[in-house]
Amino acid sequence: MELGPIVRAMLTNKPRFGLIAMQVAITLAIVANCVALILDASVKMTASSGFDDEYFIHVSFACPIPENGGAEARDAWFRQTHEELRQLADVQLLSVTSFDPWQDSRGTMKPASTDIEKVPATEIAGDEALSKTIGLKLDEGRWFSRDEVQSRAHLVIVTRAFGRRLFGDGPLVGKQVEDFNGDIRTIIGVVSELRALGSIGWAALHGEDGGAVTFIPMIYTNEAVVVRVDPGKMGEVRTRIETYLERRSVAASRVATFSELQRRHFAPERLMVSIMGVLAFVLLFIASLGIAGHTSFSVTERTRQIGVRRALGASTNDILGYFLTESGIVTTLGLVIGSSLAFVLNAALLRIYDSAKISAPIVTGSALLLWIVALGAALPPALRASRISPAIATRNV
Amino acid sequence: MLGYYFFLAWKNIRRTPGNSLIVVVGIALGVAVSTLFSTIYYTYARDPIPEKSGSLYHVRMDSWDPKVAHPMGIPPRLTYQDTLGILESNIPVRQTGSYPSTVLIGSHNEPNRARRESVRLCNSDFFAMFDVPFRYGSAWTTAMDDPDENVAVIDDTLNQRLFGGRNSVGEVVTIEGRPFRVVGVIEPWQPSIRYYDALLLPTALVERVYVPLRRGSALRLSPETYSLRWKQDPKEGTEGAYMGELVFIDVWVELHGADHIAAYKRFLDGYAADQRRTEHFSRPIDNRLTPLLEYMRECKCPPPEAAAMMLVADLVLLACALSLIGLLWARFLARSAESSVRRALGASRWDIFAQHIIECQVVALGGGIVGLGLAVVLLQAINMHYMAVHTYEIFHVNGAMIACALIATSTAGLVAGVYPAYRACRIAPAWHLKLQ
Repeated sequence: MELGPIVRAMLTNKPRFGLIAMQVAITLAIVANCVALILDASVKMTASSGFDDEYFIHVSFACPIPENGGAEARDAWFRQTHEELRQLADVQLLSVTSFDPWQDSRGTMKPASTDIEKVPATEIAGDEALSKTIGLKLDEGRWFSRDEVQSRAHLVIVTRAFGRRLFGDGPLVGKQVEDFNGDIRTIIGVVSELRALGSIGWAALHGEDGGAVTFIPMIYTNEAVVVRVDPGKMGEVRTRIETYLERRSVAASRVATFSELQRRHFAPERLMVSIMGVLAFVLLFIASLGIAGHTSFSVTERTRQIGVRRALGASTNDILGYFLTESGIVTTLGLVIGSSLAFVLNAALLRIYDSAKISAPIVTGSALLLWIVALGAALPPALRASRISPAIATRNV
Repeated sequence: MLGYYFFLAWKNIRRTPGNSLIVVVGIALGVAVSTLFSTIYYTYARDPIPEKSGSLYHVRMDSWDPKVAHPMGIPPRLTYQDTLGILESNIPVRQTGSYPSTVLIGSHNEPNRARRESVRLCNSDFFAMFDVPFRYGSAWTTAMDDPDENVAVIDDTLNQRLFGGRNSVGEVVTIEGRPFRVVGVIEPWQPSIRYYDALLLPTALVERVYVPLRRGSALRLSPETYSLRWKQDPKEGTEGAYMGELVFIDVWVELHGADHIAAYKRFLDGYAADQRRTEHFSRPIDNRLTPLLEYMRECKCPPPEAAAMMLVADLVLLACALSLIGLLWARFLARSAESSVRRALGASRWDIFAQHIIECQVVALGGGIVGLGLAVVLLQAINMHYMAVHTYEIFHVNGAMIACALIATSTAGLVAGVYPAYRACRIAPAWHLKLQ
């Protein structure tokens, strides 16, 4: 395939080919950013929480006694409900807690009586059963007692990673921290390791320091509990819980595994993925329309020339190859410009908001995709060109 | 002449249905995407109350910890005591503090059917300042801001539930077990952005009940909103919250003119200086009066993602327009013989150019209408997605959206068509006439 004549022919018509190259460039820039955002969101939506679905059920429900029925009546109802849930067959443990691997509730803490800035951490309110229920290992100190939970004692349990951030290495029990409310709390236990949770988890996934979690002895709400079930009995226990809640004529309830909670929490990300996907698809479709139209026009323009070439001995494949190559050169030129344009657009987006960063593999992958789409788009008109009969050359009309 | 061009355009569309269809689809997709994201952006960004936005100011004062600044620079809201202190001033034309909470409310005859509803504690000026529309009655008078008067304003939904929708001014409702007299009923009202309380959730539902600000403390209502304190409350519980350093009240004032603003600023500085005698205002005095629109922007309204999406959508429109250049060029060149004849008969280059541009715009208009329809459908889909959380439609089709679509359409038509039309009018007539 002689590139010389093809390129020279294109150079006689610079604006037209230039515009198509620009269109390909802009398409690549946008598609690459869309792909980056989709990948980023997918990572969040499929990340593992570190808690095996087989063991845990999250149950939330509302009390059917209205608020003006009296606080004591409501408390008694909750106590009874918690106890009856705990007694269900195959339920090992139950904890009244705000724990949810995908929650985003953050607090900030700093060592007491210092002036350094408060460090953010995921904050979880839990009762005395939480550590056994979700399987936390303490490598220093102890968990909260029932009395401490009931009295909302000013204590805290931190993860080793968070404690290290505040106090460096060394024993942490007995040290005092100030939380974001201004209360002074004493550390009474240290969790050895905890998969980073919620939004702090994303910091961990992206390489920043994660694992910053603090536990407060408090029943923040009676309406959410986490249940630990015997292995293999997840499905049965779930049905049992749902039947039980129905019998208790509970106001509103939700029984979910941690994966289901994950899906719920990432509804905005799912919307984002849909929007980006649609946008990328629309762009690729339009790009293919444009390239098809342009190639078709190119063919029409050179009908006579094609006829002459065929009459002089060119095969159908030569003609096909000519137009595919022409389209390929413009596309490649556009992709090269588009690659740098993709980084420029990404920089602009990152400046406006917290978008996803693109990388060379993403741009290369998108470019490849676009190249294949462009090839597919140029094929029908090129095939039409290859079928032009040599008799055209000798016609005078 | 213009009519002739439109006639030509229409004839040409009918003669090349395939090409026209592709151009229409191309423009429709670009316009749909562009209009959709522009509408979303402008729903957040537009001025919610244009007649007043120039004179409404949000008050903030730095009453925070002398040792460490508030994470946002200065606290975004004021404490209860500071609010009461500032509202003493008679400089602003109107002023109000406000914060949300929840109460148990029911009608007087059936206190057992009381339900928990959202309430906003505010001053009587609130309703005039934010143009809240009343169906029956009106706001309470300033005299009734006094803590001893139990008056309330309820919204239409609550009025329907408790009183069957009739004029309930003068009736009594039970709020947290105490009798409150209804003085006004609000029309169904939901601004797209709850701009007077936009810090956490600008698209939250407006509250159902409104009660004078000072009643909150008497009813022991706890503020249901973002609030922080830098020091322990002097007392436990909600009573402590009202006496302590909890910042939870948004204060808005209405001021007209630079002198007025300067006078009020002096008052605020004076108040802060006065408070320094206690530990309360130990930080350097930093009182801010933020105009409404700037306050909305600070509350991330419009959210930067919306701006980014609008940028991307406009680029998509550009890409669509560029893609169609080849198609339009093919279309024009196919009829170069006609243009040559017209040129030979005396048409100037400009005439040919104009005719082709108009043809582009006519086709683009078809694409624009389809695109607008597509954008409306997609907008409703997005509304449905958020319905679960907000239970009202955030985004509406309105004149601005249609105008957006039209501008997008003609821009796309222009971008796509100007170069092909230019090349079409440059054709030497003799070449095509010769070949006939």
